[in-house]
Amino acid sequence: MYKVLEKKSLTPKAFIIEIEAPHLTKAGPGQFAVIQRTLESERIPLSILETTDKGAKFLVEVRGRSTLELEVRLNESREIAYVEGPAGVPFEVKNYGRVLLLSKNWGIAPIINVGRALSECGNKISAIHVGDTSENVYLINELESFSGSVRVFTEDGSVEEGNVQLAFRDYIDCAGKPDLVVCAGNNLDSSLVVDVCREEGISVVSMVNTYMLDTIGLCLVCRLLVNDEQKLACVDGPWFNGLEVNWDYLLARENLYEDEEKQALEKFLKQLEREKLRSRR
Amino acid sequence: MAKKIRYLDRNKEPMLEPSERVKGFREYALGFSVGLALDEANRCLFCKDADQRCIKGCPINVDIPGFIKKITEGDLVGAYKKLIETDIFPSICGRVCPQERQCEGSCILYYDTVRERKAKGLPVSIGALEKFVGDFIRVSGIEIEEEASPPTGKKVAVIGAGPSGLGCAYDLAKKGHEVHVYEALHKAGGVMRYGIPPARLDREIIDYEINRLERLGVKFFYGYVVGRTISLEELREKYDAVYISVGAGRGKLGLKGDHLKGVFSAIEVLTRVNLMEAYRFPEAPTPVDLGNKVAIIGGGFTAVDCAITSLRLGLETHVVYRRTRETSSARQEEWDHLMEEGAQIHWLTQPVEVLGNEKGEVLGLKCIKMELGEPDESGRPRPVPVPGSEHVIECDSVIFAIGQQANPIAYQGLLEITKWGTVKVNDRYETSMEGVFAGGDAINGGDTVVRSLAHGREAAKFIDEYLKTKKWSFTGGS
Ligand SMILES: Cc1cc2nc3c(=O)[nH]c(=O)nc-3n(C[C@H](O)[C@H](O)[C@H](O)COP(=O)(O)OP(=O)(O)OC[C@H]3O[C@@H](n4cnc5c(N)ncnc54)[C@H](O)[C@@H]3O)c2cc1C
Ligand SMILES: Cc1cc2nc3c(=O)[nH]c(=O)nc-3n(C[C@H](O)[C@H](O)[C@H](O)COP(=O)(O)OP(=O)(O)OC[C@H]3O[C@@H](n4cnc5c(N)ncnc54)[C@H](O)[C@@H]3O)c2cc1C
Ligand code: SF4
Ligand code: SF4
Ligand code: FES
Repeated sequence: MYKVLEKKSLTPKAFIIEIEAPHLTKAGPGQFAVIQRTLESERIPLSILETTDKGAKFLVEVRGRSTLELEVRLNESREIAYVEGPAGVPFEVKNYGRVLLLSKNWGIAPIINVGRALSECGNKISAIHVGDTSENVYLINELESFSGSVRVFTEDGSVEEGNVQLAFRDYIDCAGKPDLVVCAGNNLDSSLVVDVCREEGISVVSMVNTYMLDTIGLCLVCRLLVNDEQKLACVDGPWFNGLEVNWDYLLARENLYEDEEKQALEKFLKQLEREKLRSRR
Repeated sequence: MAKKIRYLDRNKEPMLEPSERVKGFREYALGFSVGLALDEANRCLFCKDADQRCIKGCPINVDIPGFIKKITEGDLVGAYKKLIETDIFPSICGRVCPQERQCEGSCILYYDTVRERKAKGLPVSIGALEKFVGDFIRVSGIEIEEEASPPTGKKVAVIGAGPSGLGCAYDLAKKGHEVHVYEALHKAGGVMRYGIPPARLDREIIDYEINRLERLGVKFFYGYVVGRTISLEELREKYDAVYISVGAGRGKLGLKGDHLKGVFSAIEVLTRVNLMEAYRFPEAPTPVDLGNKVAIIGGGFTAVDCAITSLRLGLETHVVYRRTRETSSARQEEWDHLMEEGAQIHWLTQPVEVLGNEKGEVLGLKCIKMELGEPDESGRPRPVPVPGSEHVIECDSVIFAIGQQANPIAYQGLLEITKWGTVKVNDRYETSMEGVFAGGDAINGGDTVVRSLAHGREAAKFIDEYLKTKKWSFTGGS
């Protein structure tokens, strides 16, 4: 059992947890972990937001059954059964020059982790964060702590209206081309960013989002095509040269278990409602 | 009076009816009763030269007449003790060994290994007897003292908790060394846990065996991916020796159309169902989605396990294999079981393309019939395509249960490897890094549970020697 040392709510949709897990303390920038609340829970990958002297912090955005389960159950018991990691290959940190960070929703967690390391290594950082709604806007102070400029948009216009691609174009118009773009959080947004980079001749490293299961390279569910070659997001990734990634392939595999996810969420919501009823009686 | 030789009256394990079997994941082979076990044990001739026969056929050289004799004497504790001198997991091996190619294939009643000719009978049910003894001890709650030698002060790290790692950990712990097992997943057992369906191997058995190891003092660390969480070098520094038993198991695809959404590796499907219990979805949170009809490509253990799984998920199940049943590495009786359960098995059928629509959904598997031609290098007749025999097997999903690749993340770039990507070792299981040993599927790229277990136990002997002498003889090459 791993202790959850802290759980802090950021918005109704997102919270931060710090897990006591000595094996994570030396994680490199951009690596992730896999957690299971109980040994029966789904194995969910989460990016390491920051390492601490006891373990690591994570940002969790509530999306479906398993993230909701974390949100609800961690209020009841601050324990996690399994923490695997650090997984994935660390981001290659070196001096690229001017770096633009682009994050969508929870993508801000890996972006902060990588961005901080890039800044410490002498890169000049700018950042753009886009949320679906204002509930997906969080950790902006953290981002600002190492970035020269930070701009925030939401797609529904609740903060300044904008999307990742428009914001990126706007940035190029005002500030010129960065030497490197780093993006994370959403495949569709990343693919649009990559399109712009291809047109403009800008280097781009993006995190890919795939389903993951064992995260040791056995099951192939996280496969993708990079330069037409099969790669695994869990052991070869999650960061790849965005220009070499076949984004259509990734996007096509995005909703593999959509129907089941809905079903699982409904089932869990019903269970929560029953529990509420019981406690009222 | 000479004992009458009972050639043909082999006792079979009672089985669930096929219609019952497919209803769930409970074990379908129900095991011998005491009466059946006793009667079957009495068929054994206790051959004086058994070491040239059944014992030789067993990769771990179980003293077969020895343990069977104990059964006939009514001494099941003695039988168990005899068994675990070699096979420490009798309940497991009795279930999953391909006995017809190992111990039972070399039983004198069935095949005379000395004269190399077929005998006239059916072999003693060695596997079922072994399972009976293991189960009896487990279920009766008899605790067999397994004592460890006094602590030696030496520490050994084992990487991967499959049969090979468990076997090695067991022996090292008994020899008094402190053993830490690093396992990436959240449960121990390796393929026995995430691959082999509970219908063939009840998970309670694996839990029981892990518990035995824990009682011997073996410590398990889950969630450690060696090569990512911690490097092999770091482990080497922290421990006096390391045993690598990470298995093989990286799945493999490789056919036109394998990008389609309904295409899965066998390991994904098996892991979802057997490790994450997706058959209980949505009670269990991890889903599996194979549609209504599935085509499984392959003809080994893995294909059989996928078919067992998909039948129990209620799907129309096709197995497509380019060779014949005789060349399959799975247990022969499993094919009979599958057919009884309604699987359609397409022998001598080569898949050529997964067909799909624009949405990326699978529509079918295009195949071509094969016939046996001239023998290939291995002496087996090579299957060659029959012109004009293309046809489509309609299905919603396709599972690739063919070939495995090495899974090198634990040792990539650090150890000498073979051209298949497996770890290179000498006959003492030594690798190119001093103090680091390897065995199981990590060195042979996919074999059997019992052989991996045997590797683990043999390697433990050499590790123990190394800990005492610090002598290292790996020279590379070969
Ligand atoms: C490398 C990596 C790093 C991630 N880092 C973070 C993070 O720092 N913070 C955060 O909030 N989220 C992160 N995610 C996403 C997070 O893993 C998913 O949101 C979570 O698994 C969803 O589970 P659910 O049951 O709540 O939602 P579901 O309803 O099951 O799924 C919602 C969506 O999440 C994705 N998803 C579902 N199951 C998995 C799975 N087993 N593996 C990967 N994706 C899945 C799918 O796109 C799905 O459509 C990361 C994902 C990956 C692959
Ligand atoms: C589907 C299937 C069915 C089979 N059925 C049978 C059968 O019926 N009978 C039979 O005799 N044989 C069968 N086999 C073969 C048999 O299971 C294997 O030969 C045997 O399990 C190999 O044992 P192992 O200990 O070498 O490796 P594995 O059983 O593969 O165990 C390796 C362990 O190492 C862990 N690991 C991997 N990489 C790392 C890492 N970097 N760090 C930490 N841990 C790691 C894995 O999670 C796993 O738990 C089957 C194989 C498959 C795939
Ligand atoms: S371990 Fe396997 S091969 Fe050996 S005797 Fe037992 S069942 Fe037969
Ligand atoms: S060869 Fe057959 S009959 Fe002879 S000892 Fe072995 S199991 Fe018994
Ligand atoms: S998650 Fe299974 S291979 Fe990557």
